[in-house]
Amino acid sequence: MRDMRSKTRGISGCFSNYIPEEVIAAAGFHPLRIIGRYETSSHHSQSLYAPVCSFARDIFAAAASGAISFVSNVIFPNSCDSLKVLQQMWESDLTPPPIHVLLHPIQADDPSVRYFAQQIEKLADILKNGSGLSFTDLQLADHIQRYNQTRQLLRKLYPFPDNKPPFLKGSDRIALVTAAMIMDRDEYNQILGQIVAEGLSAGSVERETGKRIMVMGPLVDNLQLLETIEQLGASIVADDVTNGSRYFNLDVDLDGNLYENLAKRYLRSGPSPTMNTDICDDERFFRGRVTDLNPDGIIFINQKFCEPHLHNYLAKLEILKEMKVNALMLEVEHNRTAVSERDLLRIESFVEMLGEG
Amino acid sequence: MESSRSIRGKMFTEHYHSAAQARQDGKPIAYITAFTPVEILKAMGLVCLYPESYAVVCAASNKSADMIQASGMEAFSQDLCSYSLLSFGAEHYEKLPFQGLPQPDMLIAANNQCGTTMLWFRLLAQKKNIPLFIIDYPAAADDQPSLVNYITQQYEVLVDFVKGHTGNDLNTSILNEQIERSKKTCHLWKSVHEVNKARPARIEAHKIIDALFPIVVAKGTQQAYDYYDALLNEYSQMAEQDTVDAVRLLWHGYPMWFLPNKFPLCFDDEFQVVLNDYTLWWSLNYPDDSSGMEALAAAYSDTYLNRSIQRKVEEVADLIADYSIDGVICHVNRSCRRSLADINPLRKRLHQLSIPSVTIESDMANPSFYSDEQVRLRIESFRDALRRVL
Repeated sequence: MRDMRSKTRGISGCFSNYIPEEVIAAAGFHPLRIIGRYETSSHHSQSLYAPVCSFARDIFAAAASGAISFVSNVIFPNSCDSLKVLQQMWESDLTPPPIHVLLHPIQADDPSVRYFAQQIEKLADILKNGSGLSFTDLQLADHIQRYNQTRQLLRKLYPFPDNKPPFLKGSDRIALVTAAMIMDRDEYNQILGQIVAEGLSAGSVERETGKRIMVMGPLVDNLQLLETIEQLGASIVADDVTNGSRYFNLDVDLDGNLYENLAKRYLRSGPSPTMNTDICDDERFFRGRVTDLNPDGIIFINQKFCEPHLHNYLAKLEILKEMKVNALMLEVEHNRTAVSERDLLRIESFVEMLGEG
Repeated sequence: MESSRSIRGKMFTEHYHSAAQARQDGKPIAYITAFTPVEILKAMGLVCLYPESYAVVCAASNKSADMIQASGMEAFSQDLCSYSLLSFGAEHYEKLPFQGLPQPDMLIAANNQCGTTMLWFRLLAQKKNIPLFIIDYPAAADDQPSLVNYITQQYEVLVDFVKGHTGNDLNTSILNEQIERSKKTCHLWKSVHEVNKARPARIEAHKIIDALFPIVVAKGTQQAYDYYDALLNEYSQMAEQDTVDAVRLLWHGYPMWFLPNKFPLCFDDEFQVVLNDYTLWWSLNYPDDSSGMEALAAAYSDTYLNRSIQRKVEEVADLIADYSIDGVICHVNRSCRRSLADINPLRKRLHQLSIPSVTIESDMANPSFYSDEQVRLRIESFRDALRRVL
């Protein structure tokens, strides 16, 4: 990060998949997804009340203890209530950096796209002022191309849409997507390009005998949890998590108004529990994905008190019962590197149960 | 002149009985969330019911524990809003007040109070397999024209949605009447609170909570206006009470609907809750300089919980000055995440103002999160602290 700070006008800390990183990069900042694992002094950890999700509480504690003070600004989405609480408490209780809220709509129709395009342009102006670096449409397009390249490469890691067997383990795929949210874009694209080229020639790693698992949820920061699933003999064939397949759907069109194109891509990149996707479309998309991937079971990994994903679990459970696909819900605390004994036992018996099926 | 109590009693029973009748008569019914622009829906002939308000009725009837169990979601009772748990419970529970709400033809929700309503109504729509419309209100913003434009465009789609499901057109004359009455009723509701600016306070805050029902479920009606007019008249004519002026408290946030007086019974002649700011959240600001859909967009995007942290804190600080408040009790309501954002910033501001404050962690409708003993202990020590500083 020290290196990134010297190479850019500073680091923009951001949350959620609805912040257009391209605009941040064009304004000279390095967009860094605030994910955590930060050294935090314990006395701050109770500052946000418990029904606020584990992620928001942990990040607030980290920010309060100065662990995120290296960022030049923080960009919040207009997202769930836990992030709204985090944003307002951060704004009120903590010292700068400045905070910007990107008011993105929760739906994706044409008026929403137009409104979001205005908000992205407004954010761009704020960032330009902050960095002192203006940019032309041509320069923005150049950054968009870099991010499109990332999205195209990441899609090659995954088995959809044509259900080809993946050449990386599920835990490695999610780790790679997470790295995209942190690293310098050019360096990342170069490394990812090599991995994809080597992987495509090496072929599938999916075990013939392993049970096929799909994981779902918000941001999964505990990669050991994913590795545990795999160590217990299952394959994570796909995911629907924030730092997984939900990061790279759709490219940004380079023709026409770039802000509108960005708005379209970010609002229309697929269903998300924080967005109001049409219920029928959401269900159709989910059923289609489950049918195509044919998993033996689905593991929902939810951050404790994450309300949108809990509702999503409850909604999808009904559909899965109908489709006769087994599901397991794990509630985890953010910023834990180990897997609890309880979760280990639950995963073990779930995988075992699938084996009996 | 009919007493306010009599008007309210009639409104309450009529609201639920007429809802059941509407179902029998085949009138279109919508479940809506608290800050949905009901004026549009009434002007399109919809019968509007509020599951949140009904959850309050159930909680006040001591049904919460049984209904939450009936919801089948007990395992998630710590994570889900208790209004939504009661609503899911109502689907499987038989001994409901007024025999329950009739089944709706559609659901209409808004996210201007919290994000939960959208999630809850989405789940409800899926379970009931009925159409859903969500109105998106991004947080109250400084670029008001583009926000209002975005919201009014959604209202136009809402009109098409309702028309598509009912065949009813929007009657603009009824719409304008509704808006005008909502505006006047909100002014009256605010004035009702203001009688307690006097010292000693005229009325206990829990009695003002009892008067909340009409502004929630019948805001644009003549009956609601008449009710608050009568209530204000009665309050204004009340003689100043011949009592010693109490220590004046503000209850910040949601009441506890399952308690007989909506607040713990820890207050007496010495300490009195004179204001609950939650009830003021219903006094929306309908602008004078715009009308129709634009006025609605401005009013409904500017709900208390949709505002910036600075505005929220300064508004409560203004109330403290206006109502001569001596101390503040903040309800940390497990069910409403968004309402938790302002508690610490507010307490920081109160500290600057030398106003003592205390937090009570509980829930608005789920008594399993309420411990009488713990609450008493906290309020007792708060009273001691207040005695020391006053």
